[in-house]
Amino acid sequence: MSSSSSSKMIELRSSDGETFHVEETVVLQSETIKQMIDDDCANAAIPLPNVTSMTLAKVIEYIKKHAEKPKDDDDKKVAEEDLKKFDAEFVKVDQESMLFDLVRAANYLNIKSLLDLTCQAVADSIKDLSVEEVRKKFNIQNDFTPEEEAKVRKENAWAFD
Amino acid sequence: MEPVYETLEVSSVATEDVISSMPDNVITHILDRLPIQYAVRTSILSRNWRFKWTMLSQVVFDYDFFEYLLGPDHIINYDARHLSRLLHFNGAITKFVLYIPSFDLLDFEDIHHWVMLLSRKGIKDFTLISENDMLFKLPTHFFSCLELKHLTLYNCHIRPPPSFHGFPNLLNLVLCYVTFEGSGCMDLIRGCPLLEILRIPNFHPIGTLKLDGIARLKNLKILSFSLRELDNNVIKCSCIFRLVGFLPKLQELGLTLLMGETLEIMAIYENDVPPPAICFSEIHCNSMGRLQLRSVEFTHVRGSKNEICLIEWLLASSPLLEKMVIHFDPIVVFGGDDGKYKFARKLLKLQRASPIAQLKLK
Repeated sequence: MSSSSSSKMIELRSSDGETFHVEETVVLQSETIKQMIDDDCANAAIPLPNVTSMTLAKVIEYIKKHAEKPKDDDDKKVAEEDLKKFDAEFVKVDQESMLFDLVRAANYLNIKSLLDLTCQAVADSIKDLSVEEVRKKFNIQNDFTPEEEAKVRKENAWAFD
Repeated sequence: MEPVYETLEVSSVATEDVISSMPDNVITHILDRLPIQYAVRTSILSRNWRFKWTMLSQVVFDYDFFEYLLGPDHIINYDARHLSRLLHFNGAITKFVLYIPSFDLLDFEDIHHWVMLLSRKGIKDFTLISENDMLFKLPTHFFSCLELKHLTLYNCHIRPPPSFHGFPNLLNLVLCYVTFEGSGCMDLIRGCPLLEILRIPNFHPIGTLKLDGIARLKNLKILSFSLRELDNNVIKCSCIFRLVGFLPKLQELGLTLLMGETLEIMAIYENDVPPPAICFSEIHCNSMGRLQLRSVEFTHVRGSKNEICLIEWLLASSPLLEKMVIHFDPIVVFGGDDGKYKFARKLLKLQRASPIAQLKLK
């Protein structure tokens, strides 16, 4: 019973005022929204002041895909593979800032699997970079004096070899 | 950890430097996913990043970590104090993985010290894999890590202190080549009433498993062990039936049948010794069609009548079964290759309560 047509629809409103209608069963993946529904705060549109419509559309795409249930056991393996592919593609975003918007949204909406996925993508993207490359990638301004930096480096010398 | 929703720090580059302004819990989430040396390297990114790595909630000293530490020349150039620093953080450390290399890189005293630190940090997930010839004895502090949920131990010795009454929150226990003092093994298992996963996957003669102790673990979903590890040296099929019947939530069962000749379940097929008296009808009535098993795996199957009896009952009692995998004993299969074929033909005739059950012979 994957597509129960009787499922209640929940209305979500993004920070820029766009509304989205999502099945309740799908949106329950967000602990934050689940809490609001449990507290009976979801009769009108739920405002999400921290999430833009662009990010929210992506998040909804993600939770919809993750709410799909395979019909039988043969489908199960195929579905698992399919989901893995979907996840891998999902975090291949054009702009770095989109990935961070998704991290923030996943954190705010408290969707654990999406937070894990996006944080892993961030970790993977910096794993093989030098410190200087990480600074450049994220626009982090090095405000250490050379002496201070040398001192910090020395404190944890084993990590820098 | 409770999510921290907004902790926007205003700095001159805040608009562009998106990562530095992330909430602390998100930064921890990202750093936890990096090999630990990379996480520590973030300390020199900027002043803002100076101590972010100290919020790590997972400390993983695995095989790769020691490979890194030794470098390509494998010169031992490390100081335990550096690693100890990693455990002196203010926050909780929920996951700790330690691989003890075969060569003498780590001092057991240091490890004892780390375990003591962890016991105060609310550790939930603890893995210790030793490849060292010297048997590692878990220090007393380990037994006060009462928040443990996942525990994996490989090649170490357990001697619980008299005051130890188990890990009340433990869900997942994996023991491999672990030896115990006295009745320590069952004391440990009995002291973990919430266990959902219990794997004791080796042939090490730990010898003191008791079926009645395992049967009390009502939440068990995955169980795998070697029958040789049981204390009584005569195992009847009915013992296994009863055990499985006592575990209402069991979904996955793995049994290794490698045992001594005295075990009745291994009654010799060639000589056509009658199988042990099993109250088959009684068991049929009690548990037929009631088991929740999805997956069963037998290792070292030799093709005996008793084995067929056990398989027959499991197939007939498990309406949700998805697969049963049978690995033949590489050395002894009664009747050789022909015996395997005959055995397979017998298995095919058995009634299966589950319409989707697959039998795989390997």
